[in-house]
Amino acid sequence: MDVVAGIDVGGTNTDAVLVSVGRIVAWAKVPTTTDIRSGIVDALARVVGTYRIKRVHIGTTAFTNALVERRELAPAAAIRVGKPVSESLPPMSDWPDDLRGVARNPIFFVSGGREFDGRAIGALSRAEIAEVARNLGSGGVNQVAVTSVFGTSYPDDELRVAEWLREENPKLEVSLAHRIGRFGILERENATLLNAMLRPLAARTIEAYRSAVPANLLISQNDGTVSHSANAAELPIFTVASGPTNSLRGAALLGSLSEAIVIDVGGTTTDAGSLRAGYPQPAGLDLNIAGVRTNFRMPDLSSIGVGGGSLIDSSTGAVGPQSVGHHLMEAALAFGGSTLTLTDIALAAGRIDLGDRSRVKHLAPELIARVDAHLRARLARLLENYERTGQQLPIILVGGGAPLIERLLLDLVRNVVQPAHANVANAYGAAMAQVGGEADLTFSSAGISRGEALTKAEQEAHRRAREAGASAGSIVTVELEEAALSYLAGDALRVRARAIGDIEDSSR
Amino acid sequence: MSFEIRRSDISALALGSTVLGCGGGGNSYYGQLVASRVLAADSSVQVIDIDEMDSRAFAITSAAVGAPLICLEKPPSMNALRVGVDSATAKLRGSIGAFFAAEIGGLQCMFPLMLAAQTGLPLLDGDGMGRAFPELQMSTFAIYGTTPGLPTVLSSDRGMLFDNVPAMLKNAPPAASAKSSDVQFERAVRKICADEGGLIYLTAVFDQPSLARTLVRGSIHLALRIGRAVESARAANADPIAALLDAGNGKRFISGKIVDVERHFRGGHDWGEVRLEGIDYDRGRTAKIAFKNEYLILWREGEVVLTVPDLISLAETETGTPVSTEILRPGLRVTVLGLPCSPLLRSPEALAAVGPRAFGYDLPYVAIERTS
Repeated sequence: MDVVAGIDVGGTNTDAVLVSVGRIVAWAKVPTTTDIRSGIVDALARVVGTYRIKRVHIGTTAFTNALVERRELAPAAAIRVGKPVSESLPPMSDWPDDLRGVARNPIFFVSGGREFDGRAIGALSRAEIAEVARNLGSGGVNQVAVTSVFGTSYPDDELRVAEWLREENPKLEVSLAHRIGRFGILERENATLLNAMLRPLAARTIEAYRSAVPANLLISQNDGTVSHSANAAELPIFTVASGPTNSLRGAALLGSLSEAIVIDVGGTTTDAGSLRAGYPQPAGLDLNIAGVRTNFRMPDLSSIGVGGGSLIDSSTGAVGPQSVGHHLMEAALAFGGSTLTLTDIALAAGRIDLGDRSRVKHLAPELIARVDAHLRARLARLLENYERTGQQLPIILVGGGAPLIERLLLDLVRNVVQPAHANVANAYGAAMAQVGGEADLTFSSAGISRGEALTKAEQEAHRRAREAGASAGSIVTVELEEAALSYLAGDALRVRARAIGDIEDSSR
Repeated sequence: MSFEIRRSDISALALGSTVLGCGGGGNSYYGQLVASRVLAADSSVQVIDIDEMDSRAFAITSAAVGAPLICLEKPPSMNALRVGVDSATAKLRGSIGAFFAAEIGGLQCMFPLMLAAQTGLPLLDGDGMGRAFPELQMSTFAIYGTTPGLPTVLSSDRGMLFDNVPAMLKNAPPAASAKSSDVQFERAVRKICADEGGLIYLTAVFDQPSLARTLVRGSIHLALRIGRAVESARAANADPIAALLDAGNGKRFISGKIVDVERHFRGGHDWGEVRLEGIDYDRGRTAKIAFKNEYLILWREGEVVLTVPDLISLAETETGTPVSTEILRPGLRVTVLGLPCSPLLRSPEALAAVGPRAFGYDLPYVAIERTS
């Protein structure tokens, strides 16, 4: 039988699932290994049996970790196209000193770039680019990040600079900002530079993954889609927020709900997020990666300090935020310890069957009632964050601590779904991912109508989804939004579109 | 009373000025970064009261004109600011005593700070609005008849554009429906702005006695106090909204989540309405806010409870981070705050220019002190 494998390489465990027509047919959890590769090989070996794996989707934190730990980063040149515009705010202006120190990225300002209406700020100069290329050659810098003023709407200058750089020096690898970031030159450039710095590591890591898996390799992206491995090796920055996205996507699909609140109950915290049209609702604020601001979005998550290991105040019934964490199996009353935890309350209330019930039988029903009242209020408050007008969203409950609070959610008259395989939601989310494309364009209203602007952005997003490997008939637009550039005599429009589609298996 | 701004204060000033920006005034993040580059770590900017300035000296204001969103692709330009200041001072008979902000709200207050940092001259503790407004003629200088000031200069990244704006206006055909020279000025400048790529800088010179009469005093100090209060509350895990209200003498109107945002773009401005539903203590309540770049009118349970020119500001409930109209999105959890405007904005002539009716709402202005 043909299956898709989803793999989540986490800090502690490497999870693998095999999926056939949306159903998990096998799964495994093995410890993550230092070399990553052997953990993947081991996890796959445990699940593969007689299945034929047609694709492997991997969610990885390797590149996020490299940035956070400031290791294995290559020096990358920042080329800003649009001189003299933006010279007062040079590249890396908002980077933490330690990262800037490690990076040693050279900076160049060159002519070119556009106004919001497409007019050139200055003319591109071949001679200027040739000099930059020579300079990089003698400095041994092979990675380049090119960022042009209004480049998201008018990418031609970046494309031309990249072409010239490669002609001058074929060793140069060029990351282009219009393919990576959105409107907002510094954040877009930040993401592009981080991408360039990660590329040699990404090429090595993805090659190692490829040698570990028996089929076509795709890598999880921030937006819940996957990208072909060759593409991901060129755009590693798109993987840095894929973890929470895969968890929420996995929960949505396991629970068969596209509009829902997801609650993940762990040992120390309970995390919530919400799904719109099957995808995580994004947070409003910009994502900070390793101390660097980018204009990527993370899913909108909230946390409360409630989990299986949460300490209970026996006089008030208050829960957490202190937790015994991974010491639960020694510290909790139920396991012979002396600390009163939420797990003990749940055991005394008969909601779980775990540990020694005789050790918690002294807990009075009044105490359990006080804890329940406290928790109900906290959970109601957490849910309020995601509720919508006139609609009570169902809840998908996942995580090891799910049974601890299920009863209380039902008390709140909520529709609660506890799907099977919730412990491998992340790997399942990776396995089920589609591919996507995004466009963020600016138009002057003089040359184009609003309808035409929206259509153009949508077409570009579809084109990029096809480029990413989506089968032509399956592509749908999932986001289409506009904003005006206010205060101008003539209106200008900024339009953003995102499209996704099913992976075409014949393509490679 | 004078005080100093150091590099470490810039983030607090930016936060506080964004609260005073009432949802508009532009994203100050890039301005904050440029100011931090210009103000040396071991240096500071002296902030003085207008009364501490020599009455024969002049003060310069530098402001960006154009679309705030364009600043995200064309960040603040020190070159454009310097060209404007050099040109304005070259023709001036007299000395420059200070720089000042035409508008405290949002990005605009960063430009005079950059210039003060670069030149070593002081910054005045005050501005022409005490908040942000969508148009140039909505400043106290225009309301009380002090614009345009002496030499007025337009510049851009490319350098000088016009070094004598009043003369330029004389040669331009008057706008057909111009209500006043200020409106005509506004229109002429916006036309040039669009031709120049959507963002230009205006430098104007004012004499001390005019400013002493029309400046909204203490607004730099207020912005700094609000920003510091929020930053300290965050660091201490205390409630940033309570700290913000305490520092800004404000009132909390509702805490909730945004359920709907409706926008339409007319005449180069971003108009719209945002609806909220209360959560936590405000569960079951609803609110609506109308905006034109800035938040203008607040309704709670269908009743008007606060109007322009008093300040309506939104802040993320958890962090106290101000929420501009550009980033309004369903799902955001925010608190709606009100702060009293300057008494200079409450006179009949001021209300005619910046009250609810000036924005097309047939509503009386009711001072925040009289609402609950």
